[in-house]
Amino acid sequence: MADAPIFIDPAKCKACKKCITACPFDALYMEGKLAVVKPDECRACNACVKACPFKAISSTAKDEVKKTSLGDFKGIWVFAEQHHGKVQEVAYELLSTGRRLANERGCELAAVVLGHEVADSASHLIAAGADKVYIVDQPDLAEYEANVYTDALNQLIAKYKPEVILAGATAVGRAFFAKVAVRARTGLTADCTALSIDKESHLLHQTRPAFGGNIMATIMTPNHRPQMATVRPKVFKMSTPDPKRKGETLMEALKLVTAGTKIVKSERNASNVNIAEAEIIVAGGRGLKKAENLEQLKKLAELLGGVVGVSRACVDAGWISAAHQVGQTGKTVCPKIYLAFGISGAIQHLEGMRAADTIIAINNDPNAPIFGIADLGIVGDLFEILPMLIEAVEGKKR
Amino acid sequence: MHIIVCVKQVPDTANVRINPETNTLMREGVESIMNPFDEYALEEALRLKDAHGARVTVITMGPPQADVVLREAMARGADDGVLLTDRAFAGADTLATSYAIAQAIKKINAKPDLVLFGKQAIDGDTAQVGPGVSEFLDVSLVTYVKSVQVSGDTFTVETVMDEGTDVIEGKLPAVMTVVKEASSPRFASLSGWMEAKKTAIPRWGAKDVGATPEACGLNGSPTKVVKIFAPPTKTGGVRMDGREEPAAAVQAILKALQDKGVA
Amino acid sequence: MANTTKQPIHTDILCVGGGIASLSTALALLRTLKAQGKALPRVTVVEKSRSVGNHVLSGAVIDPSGFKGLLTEEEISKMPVEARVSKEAFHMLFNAKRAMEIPWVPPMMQAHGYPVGSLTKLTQYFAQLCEKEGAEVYTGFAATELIENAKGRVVGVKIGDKGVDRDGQPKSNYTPGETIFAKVVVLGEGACGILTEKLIKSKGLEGRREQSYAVGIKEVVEVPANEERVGEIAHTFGYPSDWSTYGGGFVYHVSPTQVMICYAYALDYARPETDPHLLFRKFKAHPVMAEHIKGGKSVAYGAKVIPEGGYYSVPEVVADGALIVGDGAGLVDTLRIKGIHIAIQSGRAAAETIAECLAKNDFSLEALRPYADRLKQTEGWKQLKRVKNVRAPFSTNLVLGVMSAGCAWATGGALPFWQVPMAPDHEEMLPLKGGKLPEPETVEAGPTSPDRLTDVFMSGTIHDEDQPCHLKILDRATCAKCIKLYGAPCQRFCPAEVYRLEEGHIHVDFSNCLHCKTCQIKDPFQNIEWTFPQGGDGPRYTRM
Repeated sequence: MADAPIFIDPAKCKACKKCITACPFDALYMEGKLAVVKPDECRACNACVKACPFKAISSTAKDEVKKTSLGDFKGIWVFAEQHHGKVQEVAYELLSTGRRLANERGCELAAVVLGHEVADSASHLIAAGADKVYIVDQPDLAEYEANVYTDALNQLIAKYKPEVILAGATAVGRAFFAKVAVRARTGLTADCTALSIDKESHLLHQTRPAFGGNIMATIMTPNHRPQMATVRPKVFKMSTPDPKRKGETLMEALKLVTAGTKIVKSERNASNVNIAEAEIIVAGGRGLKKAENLEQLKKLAELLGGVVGVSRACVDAGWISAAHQVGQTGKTVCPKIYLAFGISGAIQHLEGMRAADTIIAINNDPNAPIFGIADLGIVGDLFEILPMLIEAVEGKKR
Repeated sequence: MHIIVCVKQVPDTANVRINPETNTLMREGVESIMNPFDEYALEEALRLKDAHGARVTVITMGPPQADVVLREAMARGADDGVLLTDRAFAGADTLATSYAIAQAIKKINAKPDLVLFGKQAIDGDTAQVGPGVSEFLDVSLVTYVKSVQVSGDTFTVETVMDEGTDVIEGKLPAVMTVVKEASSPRFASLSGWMEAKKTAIPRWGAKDVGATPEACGLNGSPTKVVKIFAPPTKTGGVRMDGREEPAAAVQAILKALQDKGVA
Repeated sequence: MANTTKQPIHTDILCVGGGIASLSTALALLRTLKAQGKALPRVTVVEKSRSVGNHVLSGAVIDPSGFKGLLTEEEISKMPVEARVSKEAFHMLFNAKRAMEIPWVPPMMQAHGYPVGSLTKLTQYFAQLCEKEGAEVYTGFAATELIENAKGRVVGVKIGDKGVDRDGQPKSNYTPGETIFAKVVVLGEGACGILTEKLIKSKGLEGRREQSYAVGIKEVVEVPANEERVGEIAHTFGYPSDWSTYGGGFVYHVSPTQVMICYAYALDYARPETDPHLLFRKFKAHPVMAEHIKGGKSVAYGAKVIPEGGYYSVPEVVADGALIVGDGAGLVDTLRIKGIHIAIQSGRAAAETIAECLAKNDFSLEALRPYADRLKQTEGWKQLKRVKNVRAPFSTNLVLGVMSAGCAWATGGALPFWQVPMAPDHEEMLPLKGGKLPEPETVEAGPTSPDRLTDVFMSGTIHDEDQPCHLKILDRATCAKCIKLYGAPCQRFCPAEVYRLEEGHIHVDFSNCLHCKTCQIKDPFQNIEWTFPQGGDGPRYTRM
């Protein structure tokens, strides 16, 4: 009975238990001298297939082949999210990565813009690496609305059949992209931190964190197209634009569904920000000594386009609200950059930020535990270093 | 009004680790909990029940022991619950999960007024199932909801966007995903638990909800997990003494920031 | 909004605390009545931790005599305690480096073949059996007050409120605690149970001697896989305790990859600079112990007090409307360091009594009294009696203690026959020598020697921080005296780094609390009152 995605050949199984050790999902156990799989737990990651030294395990998963030949799908697309006519930075970051992937794959890179009065974004997108820019410039796309945007993108996909589409994992990107993927009956991997093209299969390898960042998973969409992935802002670097690049702009006019909802009011202010989603966090702890010293952190955060985080001590002391608390009893964050000023790094705090990509710590105690995980650890006086750093960043901006 | 809330039983991921040597999940000592975002979704549903007398049904897809989260939801005030459980569902990615859940919702009520999800599950972290279900139900989607008001068949919600909040209006039915900025979830009272223990929870499999096997579980999942590994452990990198020459330290910090495309 | 007008709940038997004593009471009662073909009463167990077992911590090498007659053979074989004691050793540690293995394990300590493993897991197993028999077990609900009627009879409990902010104001999810009335309340709160202590005081139920305690500090260490060592256990005494304080440690290999290591230190210690967590680390660093955890990594931590007063400190176990079972009644044989089987036996004795009360529909004080007699008939009680004078002499001197132990064993408890006096734990602390704290000792940190805060993290303890501080410092002016005289010992005797002296003020980080009760017991001015935090909060032990 092919109930489970893997089959263990009783003739070949030698009860060495290597498969049980290899299984990340606890899906295998021994029944006497034969390894047995729990179908409910098995995720067909095939780790056991690879681990068995006797080739006793094989995969039974039937790979569904779509009616439309996969070869019809060509090209890498980047959804260029825009707000009020301005293309978001994440799009440029994705175009840089997209360019690399397109070169590896040997295909075209295109940007897709949905909006109103957005035609002049094309030149910037081409300079950033796009070979083609598809623009749908209509009044009904002026404000993001899930159903309308989904309809637009799916129509384009049906018409042009891209092999890969990338989007920023922003509030907008994550939401409607998931709808697009389901409508296209294809696979979507969210919050990727690494993307590459497999040399043999030419498939997109998508790596992302799961279980709150405690494990990493690499995922592929072998038999469905387009292969879709979202990437968080600031995960990939934006390369320098090349204004000399040439590309094609295609204006599309689409007949779209009417919006199901409308925005009645919009408030934009930085104070509502959720630090758990922030890519840059400037954090302070007990070493700040006084509430007033948080002002400098706020300044630096603003300059870098990030948010302020604190250890529990600052919240207990009443300097700032618990919304900014990072740690076991506060928020868990996974920013690109975590700058820690005057934080010793007790494990309760580390648990909240150890997933950060780059940790820079400044503390005058050389034995502070935070130095154990900091990528760059500075033993020094934060009251000297912080103002100098602010000045230096301001200088760069000018 | 009939509100359906989809909840998930997840491991308390703060404690889940991967053994970097064997690449296996270390789950000893990790307890199962109701997905925290789903608690907020349930709270919004219960507030609407308090205000309008709505019926709240909770549904979860998981192994048989996942019925605990349904009982917990009922102990807090949900009226009834359904457990979607079947070997056929195992190994489902977000597409196959969205499909199965949408089938179950259609069986509970062909026209529910509101379907609520927590923004994301803290194990998968994808935030895709809510939007996926809205597709399969062909119903409006609103994401990152902080509060829900309903008047007749019109809803007004506050949503949390990247740099602020929006107020959005629309007509029911709708699928919404709820964030933690929403109202604090209520506690289950002892008498609530006592009632919940008495309520029967039906179990539905793929056949019961009319889900075609090819679209369920692993077979219905376009995405495949190829590898699982431990994130690189940080062991402390470059150390500098910034006491004598803070200027050099500042330059090092600046460079590190620039290398990452910041500053 | 939450329903704030709830009717009181009525049940037949209410067990406060979801530990092994309460669960044994529930299980034994329901099975006895089923066997007799009688109608089953409503049995309700309320437990303050989030899940069953989260606040349970013990060694444990379990005397299996408690299970026979309560569990079937199949149930005993399926207990989640997979190891059996295969090899025992007994060591006297002289100092940081030297030790001597006692060539024979004292007969009263012998435990060959006994199950050895996690009481947390065993408790979870018992809870499942209870629920199968029809008991209702509710977790996340703290019984914060006993309710008495006008005649002073215990008629039920009040459950604590939830959703109260740090200033005592109701939050948006405020849920007032409910009231449960029962025909009889079984108190199974564990060592230093708050309601139990209050009841004992208010009804004058004290034993001949005030209860005395030790604090047990324990870690689970993951070690490189070693099948052969499973079932190996070792007990020690001596270093790092001084010669006039009862302290000892153990190490148990409970699975190929898990070792349990613990140090128990009596709370009648005298030196104010004493830091039991530090003693635990010194203990682990001793070559004899280090060998057991070599190449390992501490993965779980916890602490709890153990009642050590023994026979003379057991209170009256029956009050009007209430029975006390388990550690709350101090039913621990401190020589063998075994109390689980006695807890189970006390639960069964209570169950038999309750069954009779149900048959006669009479739950009066007279009808409950036979529990005390039944308790005295149990094997566990006899063991307690035999070692009634063993513990106390250890407070004078280790040698004297050992002599008493040997004497008691040899004479079956007849000698020594006088009651050796013991002062209450909190009175034993001496002032700082020279008014100053000595230099704190340090132990090298490592994967098997985490600092206190890292250990606290591994206990999984978590409390909603927006709630009133549950550790009440009764008189802040007294703190100043204590700081001067004893150097604020709360900073050291708390195994969870809850108390911190900063600029002359004691800060209370209550969210670190392990609910061990050491502070309430050891504070020399009795200036700390342990009260209940929000139900569901506290440690999350899963394999202690």
